[in-house]
Amino acid sequence: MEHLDAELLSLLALGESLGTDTDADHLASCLVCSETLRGLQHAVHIATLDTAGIELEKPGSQNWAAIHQALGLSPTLATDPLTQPSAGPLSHRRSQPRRKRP
Amino acid sequence: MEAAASHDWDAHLDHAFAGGDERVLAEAYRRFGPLVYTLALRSLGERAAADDVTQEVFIRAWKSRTTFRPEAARLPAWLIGIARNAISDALSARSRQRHLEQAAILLVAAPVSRPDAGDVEEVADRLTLDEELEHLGDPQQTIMRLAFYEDLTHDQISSRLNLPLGTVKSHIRRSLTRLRTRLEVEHGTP
Ligand SMILES: [Zn+2]
Repeated sequence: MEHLDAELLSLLALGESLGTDTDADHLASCLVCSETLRGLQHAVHIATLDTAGIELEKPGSQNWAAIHQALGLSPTLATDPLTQPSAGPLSHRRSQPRRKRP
Repeated sequence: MEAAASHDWDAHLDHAFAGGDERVLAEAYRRFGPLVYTLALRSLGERAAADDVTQEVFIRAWKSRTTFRPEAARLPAWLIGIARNAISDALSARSRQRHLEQAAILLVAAPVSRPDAGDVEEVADRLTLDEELEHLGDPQQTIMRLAFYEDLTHDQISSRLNLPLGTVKSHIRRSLTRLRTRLEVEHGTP
């Protein structure tokens, strides 16, 4: 039995509508091809994941204090960075995320 | 607080970190500390254990900054790698401990999953793939960005970049396979 073309599987994983009825039948019955497609789809899902809505928990301030002390960092960095909305000296050097124009 | 993406983490910060700029460590903690902490919390289930891992990750990262090569890696993905190691160390230490205590329930290798563990893992994976995408070089990277973020078909990419269809398809196949493999390696599955 011949498996589906690897290029076809990649394009299917990207959501393109391609392939014949025969290809679809093969995919439905072949574990190897459907497993490959699932892996590629997962990679697409992760690469295009919108992380904006996912909530994270903030580590408590004792964590930064411990790191700061263990590494003997400069006293000017003693304040927990997570209590500051944006790091002063670096923020102006960071580029803004690109926005597509509507 | 919301998950941080890596797209606005500039490469110059990677170089400054490798060069020993402590402010970048603080900035990395501000941006990725919550992700590391939440990953650890979801895997280990206890705040005290997640605290330990979080501290361990940033202390380890700073101490081994000279082994971080900004030309070959990105700091967000590198931190995630350290975090995964630290979490896995904590899990095996715990399972040894349980064994010693002859606990009735042996921990299996898989971390205790919470219902929302998947989301956080995926944010971490996204940072890993962002790095892998940058490793692709061109035209592969441009092709994949057009497919992922502008939702173009291979036909449209071929016209946009003036590349033969066969070339575009073969780049897509190899790049996507590489991304899939990177995720598998990251999670220790063949
Ligand atoms: Zn097959």
